[in-house]
Amino acid sequence: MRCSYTSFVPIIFLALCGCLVSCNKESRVDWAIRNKILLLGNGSEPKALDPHLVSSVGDSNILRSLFEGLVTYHPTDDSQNAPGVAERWESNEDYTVWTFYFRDNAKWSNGDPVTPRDFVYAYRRILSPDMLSPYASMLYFLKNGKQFNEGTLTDFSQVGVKALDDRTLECTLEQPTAFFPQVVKHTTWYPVHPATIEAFGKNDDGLDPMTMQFTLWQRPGNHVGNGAFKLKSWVINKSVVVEPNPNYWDADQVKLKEIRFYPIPSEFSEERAYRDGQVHYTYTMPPNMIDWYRKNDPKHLRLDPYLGVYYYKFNLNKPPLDNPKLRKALALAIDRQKIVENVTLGGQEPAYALSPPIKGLYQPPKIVEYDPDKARQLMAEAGYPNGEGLPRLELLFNTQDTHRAIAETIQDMWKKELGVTNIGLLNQEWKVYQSTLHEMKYEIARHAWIGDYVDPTTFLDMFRTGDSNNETGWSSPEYDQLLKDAALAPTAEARVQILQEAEKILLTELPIIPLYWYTRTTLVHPAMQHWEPLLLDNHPYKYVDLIAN
Amino acid sequence: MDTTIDHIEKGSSLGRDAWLRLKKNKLAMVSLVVFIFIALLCFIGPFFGVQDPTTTHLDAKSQPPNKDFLLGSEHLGRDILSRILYGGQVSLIVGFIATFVSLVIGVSYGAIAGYVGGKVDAVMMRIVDVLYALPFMLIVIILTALFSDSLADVEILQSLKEKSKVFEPDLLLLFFAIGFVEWLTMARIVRSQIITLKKQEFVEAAVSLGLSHPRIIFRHLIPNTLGSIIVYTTLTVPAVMRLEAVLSFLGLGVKPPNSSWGSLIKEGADRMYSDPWLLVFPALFFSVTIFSLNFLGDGLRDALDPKTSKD
Repeated sequence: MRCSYTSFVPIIFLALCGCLVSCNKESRVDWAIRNKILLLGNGSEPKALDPHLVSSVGDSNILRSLFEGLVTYHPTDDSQNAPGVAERWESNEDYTVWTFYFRDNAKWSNGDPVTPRDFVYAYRRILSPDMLSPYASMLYFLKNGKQFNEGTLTDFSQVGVKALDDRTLECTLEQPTAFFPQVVKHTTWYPVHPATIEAFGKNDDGLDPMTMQFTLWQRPGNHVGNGAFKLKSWVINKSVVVEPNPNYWDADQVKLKEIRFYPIPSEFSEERAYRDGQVHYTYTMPPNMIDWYRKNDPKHLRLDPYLGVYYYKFNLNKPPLDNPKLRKALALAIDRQKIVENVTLGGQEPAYALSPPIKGLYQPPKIVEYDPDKARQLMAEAGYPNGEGLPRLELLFNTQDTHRAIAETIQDMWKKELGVTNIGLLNQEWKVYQSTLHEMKYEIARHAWIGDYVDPTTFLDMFRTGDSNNETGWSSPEYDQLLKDAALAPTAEARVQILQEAEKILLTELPIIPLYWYTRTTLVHPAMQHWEPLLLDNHPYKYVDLIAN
Repeated sequence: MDTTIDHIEKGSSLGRDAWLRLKKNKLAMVSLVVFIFIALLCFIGPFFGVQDPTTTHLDAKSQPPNKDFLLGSEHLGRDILSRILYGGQVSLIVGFIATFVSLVIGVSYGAIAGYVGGKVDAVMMRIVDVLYALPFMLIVIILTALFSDSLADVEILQSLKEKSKVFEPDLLLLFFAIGFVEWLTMARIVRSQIITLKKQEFVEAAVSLGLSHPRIIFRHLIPNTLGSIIVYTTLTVPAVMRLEAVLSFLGLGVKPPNSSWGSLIKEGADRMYSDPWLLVFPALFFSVTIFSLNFLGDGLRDALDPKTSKD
């Protein structure tokens, strides 16, 4: 074929045009800032948009835009409360009966008024045994809530929640709880729209429409919420899009035109998406890039305090893990300082206890420390000198690179310090991992807990006998009793002391190995306004704004 | 005169002819040498004082190549060179065992279907079609899940596991599982070749000599299809290595802290922006191996073709 130079001219011209177009094209985040569309990376694909079915942090990030509880999150301080559906609330003297007074203009996204009866319906729904809600234990604060959820009580009128009239809701609690308004901010305490749930829950099998789990009500167009935003679209594995809810009582406050939540499970892909100008905010951050951003792009990197703990838990039903000396030896052989400095890299604090210290509120006892000599001695006492004779143990974690790096490091530390060579590493996809934990089919597993409210009991309550998040088979009547006593303590100081006592028991028996206390390491676009550092990372979206700078 | 007759009568086997032809192909020979070198490096290299591939050195993490870590260290301070060598053992073995399994199944299945023809062929090939339609990742996962428990009881495997650093019974199962799903295309290729070949005179000659069917298939037909089999095999090896990498990432392949080339490349690709050497060296080993296998396959195809005129 003859090839003349002239035939190339149009091709070169086209290529140049292409370059000009792409060079001038504004990035996606800039386009989104101009249109006030917030683009958020949000971990995994949401399991549901139903407040009674979710339990992960990513899912509750979406629900926080779609629903609003009695009390809601404060934009700058998570230990403060902002009025939500209730404009004010009060309690009796010993904090066991709380009364919430509703505002006149609280409305559902379809225009119906939000009433105390909607809340009673919602609490009945989440506590119903048929609902199998993964997080129903949050409602155990209510009197008889636990009994109703476990099916030992079938009469819901005995559960401590009552609509006194069209404006007033009364909650009677199991035990005195001074921080109850903090608790009702949580996803599990959101209301649902009864008429919608009933309409889509209808079935020919004679089942209660209320407890039908994954019905079509969660689809865009059907979904009814009472939050600052309403559901616009939900495309599986692509995005969840929400837009302002014109019926929201504080709609004037809302500045954004849209929020898009993107499920990006890999921290590496998410960081690349951010660097490429695809999202304003990342859900996670790969540790290897933290230093890079520190040096090259510090104004995008955010390391905020975060009320959470990363730990390993033991299944005490599987020998030899029922041996407390072995558990302690494994715990003392881990150099936490080295892990946070070299593996997680985000300025995390090595954890010497379960509950993180909370400024002005709680200081956990210092018990778990790095002491390899003691660990070796305990190992010998447990009957495994130099790790000899220890059967193979599997260490389970969900598929994520950082979890694997931590597991590999600890595996090697156990090998170096204790001579333990047969620890297997097992990773499972998030949902499989969750059910493996729940069915207690593991031996040692990675776990983490982010506080639901600013109080040490959000961590300590997990290890009560029979708590659905205990999942270790550990049980101590003494511990349970101390937690009960703490609630009845006359003063705040006395309460803290009792809680510390309880935590000491937990840390002496060690059904868990605390590893580190979280920091929130994320990338946040400088154009995002009013995205303040928050201890629980529950940002109320109605204040957030995007301003180019 | 006499000498010439001697020369003519001296027979020469197919294999010997092939080897002579292969020796003339420079690219193929270089590839063969490179491949043998890499394989020796992976299997014998670890005996000559490389570091332990699983020992972490948190104080020396993410270092570019230096005198302690010849090819650098990764995010937990493990030596990249030794991880590549040990990982190479896994990758090469998975590449060859799985390919061999797929080769044996695919070639015999395809040859029988093609040679017998008719209804048998139709049924056999429809089975292949059905298997094609199943997502093969799923089959591998099911196979591994199904047999991993029963395999754990086999004593030989247990003793193997204690002796070797990298082999776990699960891994061996994985090799076979991958082989079990990779044979489909091979079966189709061989069948189509056999169908064209079986109409030719030399087959008719073999039939009229009264040779048995197995002998005709394995002695006369399959050698004639070797060219395409070898080309496809060289393509299967890298495909199998890639599949192993994917499965490792899902937690079904090589278990951490052990490595394979696939898992090293995956880890390196994630961190290439901050620590490029984590990607460069494993990728270099992987691609050089695959290139040499491809060139070698090319050379072998030319060399093994019985139709190539003798010179």
